[in-house]
Amino acid sequence: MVAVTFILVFFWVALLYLLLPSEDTLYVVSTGVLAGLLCTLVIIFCARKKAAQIFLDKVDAVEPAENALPVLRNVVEEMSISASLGYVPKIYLIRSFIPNAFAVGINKKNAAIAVTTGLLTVLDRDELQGVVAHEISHIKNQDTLYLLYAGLILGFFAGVQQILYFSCRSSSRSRGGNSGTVVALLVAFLFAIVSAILVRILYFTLSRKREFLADACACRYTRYPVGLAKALRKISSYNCSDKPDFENQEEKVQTDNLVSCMYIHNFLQAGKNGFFDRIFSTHPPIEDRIKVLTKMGAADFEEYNKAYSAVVSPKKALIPKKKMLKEDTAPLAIIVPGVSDSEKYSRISRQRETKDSLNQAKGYKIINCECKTILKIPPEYTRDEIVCPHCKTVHKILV
Amino acid sequence: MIITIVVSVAAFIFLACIAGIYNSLIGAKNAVKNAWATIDTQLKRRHDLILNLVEATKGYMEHEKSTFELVTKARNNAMSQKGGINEQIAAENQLTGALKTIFALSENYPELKANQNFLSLQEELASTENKISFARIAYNDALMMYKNKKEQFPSNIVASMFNFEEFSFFEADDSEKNAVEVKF
Repeated sequence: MVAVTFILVFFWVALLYLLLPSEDTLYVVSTGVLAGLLCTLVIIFCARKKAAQIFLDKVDAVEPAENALPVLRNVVEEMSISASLGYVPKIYLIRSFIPNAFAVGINKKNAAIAVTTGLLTVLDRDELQGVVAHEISHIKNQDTLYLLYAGLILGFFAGVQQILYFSCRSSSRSRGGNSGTVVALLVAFLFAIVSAILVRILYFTLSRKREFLADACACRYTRYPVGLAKALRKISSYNCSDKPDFENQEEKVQTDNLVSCMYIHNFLQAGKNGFFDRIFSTHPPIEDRIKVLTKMGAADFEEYNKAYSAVVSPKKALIPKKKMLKEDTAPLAIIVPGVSDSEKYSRISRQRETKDSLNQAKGYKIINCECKTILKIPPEYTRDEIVCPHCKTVHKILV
Repeated sequence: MIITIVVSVAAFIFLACIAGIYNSLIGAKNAVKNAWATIDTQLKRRHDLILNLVEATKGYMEHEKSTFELVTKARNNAMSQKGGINEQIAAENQLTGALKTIFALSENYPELKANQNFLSLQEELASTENKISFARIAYNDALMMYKNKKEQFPSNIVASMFNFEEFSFFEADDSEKNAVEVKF
């Protein structure tokens, strides 16, 4: 946070110095520092307090009832114990048939994991555990904050570009003659463009690194890399374009530019493999992630580092030595979960359970008719009676 | 005058260092205790769940009285265990073995297998067992950090001054020692 503030203030000063070539340097510098500091503090404050809620509202996520979705709840608890988080993040459901998940927040108050109904339908327990572990590591590693700060710098440079563009145009019209100003502005303009591109590349590199790191942590927490690998394969093999109603409002939650970078798999970038796509993508190619995971012979960081350098880049290690010394205390063998009860929960029953709890959270009323029809009444329905479409029994709706 | 200032500043820095090290040691110790408390909570929850399971299945499996007695005995044995953590885990492992028999036998009772209550108890028990095993790893990690702090220079000096207590590690059971072959 200190570093971010410092960088932003530094650039405010530099910018104002170049824009206002006044005699009184001290005046320019001091206003620059003050303005920069104030803006940065306000933005950081908002980011810490409100960002989590903004993301959740954006995708229309709802909190399921206390007793709903016991498997998901148990898996989240297990993973927060394994990550020694000290608390259990809140759980949110998103209505979307495409399997995906994301995490927001950094502390007990705002940490939350949001999963789509599609995810709960498609994945079995072990795979779900892998995905939840990945999201919990985003919370544990404070990645949302990391990326928000990086995003702040990115946004700042976008702003600088705009300001420079407009000031260039206006000054060339009004002053014209002063060649010193023009040169200064030109330099500032070039500088801003180059740095904006650099910062953007830095942001995306950082984002991709955090994704790999979250995968590594997920292996440590679940001790079963195959679970996450299988989950990623299922998620990525879900072909969005097959579905005609992808333009449907419900599915827009996945393709929104703001939120898409938060998900475990970014569907906006699926299938793009060009050089520039690779540089400007928030997530590493999912095939690489799966390859690394399947190569692992144990569940600790050292093994992930080995697999990572074998698959992605042979020279650079992913996890810094310091973090490994601190957290990787002993080699961890892979534990294959015993034959889990997942077979008993068939795909259809999982789908039904998920849908029911989502409806319940959205305020639907459930009435079981004697003819074994289940009536689901949306909150928009205001009359106090409803007729069963099969046996024509009239039910009273209790408020 | 100058000497007094230098000495008092040095003394202050020295005390601040000791306080900082002491606090980090306490933090590490509390992390270990916290991890142990998590295991304890889950063990208690497991004992409660087993009681519920026995009650829920008794009616369906009338011919398996001896198995139920075995489970109840193992449960009481595990609950009354007050020795070190490794003795406690041994008792818990015995209980796990007895539980497995119940679940294996339940395969012969299709009515029981369709029972919603039984299914949810099975999920809860499986999850509690997962939580216990994850909490044990977290405990060992926290303990390793604490031990490192206690033995490394310079915090070992502070640790020996204030007599920080010892804890023992969990030993891995056999299923964890054998690396497993993974098929994908």
